[in-house]
Amino acid sequence: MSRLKALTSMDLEDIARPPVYDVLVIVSGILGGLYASIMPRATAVRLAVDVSSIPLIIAIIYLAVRGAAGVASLIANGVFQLYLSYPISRRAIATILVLTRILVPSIVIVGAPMLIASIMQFNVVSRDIARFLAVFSGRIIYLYFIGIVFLLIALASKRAMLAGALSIVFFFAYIFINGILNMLYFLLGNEVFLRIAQSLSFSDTLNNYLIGLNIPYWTLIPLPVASIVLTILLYMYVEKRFEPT
Amino acid sequence: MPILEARGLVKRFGRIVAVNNLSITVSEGDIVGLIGPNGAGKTTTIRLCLGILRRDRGEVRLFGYDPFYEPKSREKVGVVFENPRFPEALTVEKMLSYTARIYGVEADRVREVLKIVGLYEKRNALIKTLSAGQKQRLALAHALIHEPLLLIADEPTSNLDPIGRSEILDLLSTLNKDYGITIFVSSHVLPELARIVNRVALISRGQIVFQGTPSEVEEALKEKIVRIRAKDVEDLAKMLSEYFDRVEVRGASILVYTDNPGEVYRIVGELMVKRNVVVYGVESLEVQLEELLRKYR
Ligand SMILES: Nc1ncnc2c1ncn2[C@@H]1O[C@H](COP(=O)(O)OP(=O)(O)OP(=O)(O)O)[C@@H](O)[C@H]1O
Ligand SMILES: [Mg+2]
Repeated sequence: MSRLKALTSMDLEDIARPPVYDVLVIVSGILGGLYASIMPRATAVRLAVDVSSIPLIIAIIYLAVRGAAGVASLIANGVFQLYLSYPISRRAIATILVLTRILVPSIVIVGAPMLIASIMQFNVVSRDIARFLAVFSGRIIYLYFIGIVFLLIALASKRAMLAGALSIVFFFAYIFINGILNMLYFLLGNEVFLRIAQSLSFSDTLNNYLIGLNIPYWTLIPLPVASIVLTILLYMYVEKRFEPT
Repeated sequence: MPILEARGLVKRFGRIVAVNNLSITVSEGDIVGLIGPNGAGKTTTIRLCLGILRRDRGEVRLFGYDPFYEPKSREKVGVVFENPRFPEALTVEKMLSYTARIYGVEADRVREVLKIVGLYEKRNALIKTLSAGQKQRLALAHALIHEPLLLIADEPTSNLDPIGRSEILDLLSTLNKDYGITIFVSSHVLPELARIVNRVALISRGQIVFQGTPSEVEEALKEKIVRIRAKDVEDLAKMLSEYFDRVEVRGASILVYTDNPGEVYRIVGELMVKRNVVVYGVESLEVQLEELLRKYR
């Protein structure tokens, strides 16, 4: 266990390398949070949603650049094979990557401004901590889904520029498809399109659900399920097939 | 007792067969040199033996475990990769302390290995500021930190100047003799390794073509090539191949590999007389390593 912690910290220190880029990311995340928390919000959900929306975008960019492109350059420059030369299982290495390249950055970038906001407007948040945290969890689950796709892209493409570019392309395609589905619903009036679109934009849908809009709860199921499936896929790939060359 | 045992290894990259039915054993106490030209499959073999690459066929046992599936196999193994790279943003000492924690050894060990490899003064330098040779030394320190029983080094001298090279080779030799570390080391040149290894495996096109002690390799290298220039090389080659196992036509010459060049001269003389073969010249050459490898292809 301690050897996993050591490699996790080593990898984290490598990706969170100071100064310029990462500090910028985190500071702008915090600023985004501050910006949104200057104006008092009426409800905890409202506050949580507003404070986390800019950091969400920043986190996605971070996952593409430091997550996907970072992992790909780890492969390209031979550090990945170093990791595999340690007495650490491939499964554990997959776990480390999920932590350092997806979960930790997501939680820090989205969580920091939300934490600040919750301190600054404690009276609002304390009235509905459960939903405040639900918004946060929704953001993280959404980022996790995007991050896992990015990570798979990185492991398969093995080239930093390509992985970064493909990740961004994937994300825009995802948004685009979402838009098309909404438009189809608008044009054709078929509710299926709307529900698929809502399933895709999990985090926003969850927020609307929390606000009390009339959304069937099952639209919140597909993305977490897809995340689990992709996670299993990731582990199978790293354990059985992946080669860092 | 074999520490590392590979049998019938096959590794393809698309259409390229990088390692082709290769078997090798490294026993406790050995220093085995894996020698072969560029692209022979040395690095691929080493990666297969560490479980970094997935083998298409064959078996690998590292300390009795399968390295692809069982990380325990690598607990007592130190690795120096070809053109070693480390997380660039860390300092030398920071990187090695992480490594110490990964292997579960005391932090004191970091300074100890830095002194062993002569990198102590650079301990606070960022890794990205190190020269290629210094990175090579860092790689060695990194490989030794957990006092491994087996050291696998892929061309550990490749980025060093001549003095650095012989220092590293002496160090490998000391590690083996005084600390009992088994060593598996690759190189594309035989002579510099011949000094320190006790077994040599020559690799060519993904296969081990020759194994033995350095002196046996030297013996094999003593073999002569007789070069014959003749009017009709194809004809003469056909006749000669009735007498010799290995006859090759190269342009306007015939090459005959033999440990008895006198016999070639005698038979060529006989053929000139009996069969009216026109010969322009006969000379014998030393077999170079490259020739030896070519011979086994
Ligand atoms: N990841 C890879 N993808 C495709 N081909 C590869 C890969 N790695 C190695 N090869 C090919 O496999 C063959 C053996 O390569 P390998 O690197 O094992 O040789 P080597 O003996 O280490 O050579 P060198 O002395 O140049 O380091 C070469 O033809 C090489 O091009
Ligand atoms: Mg090589």
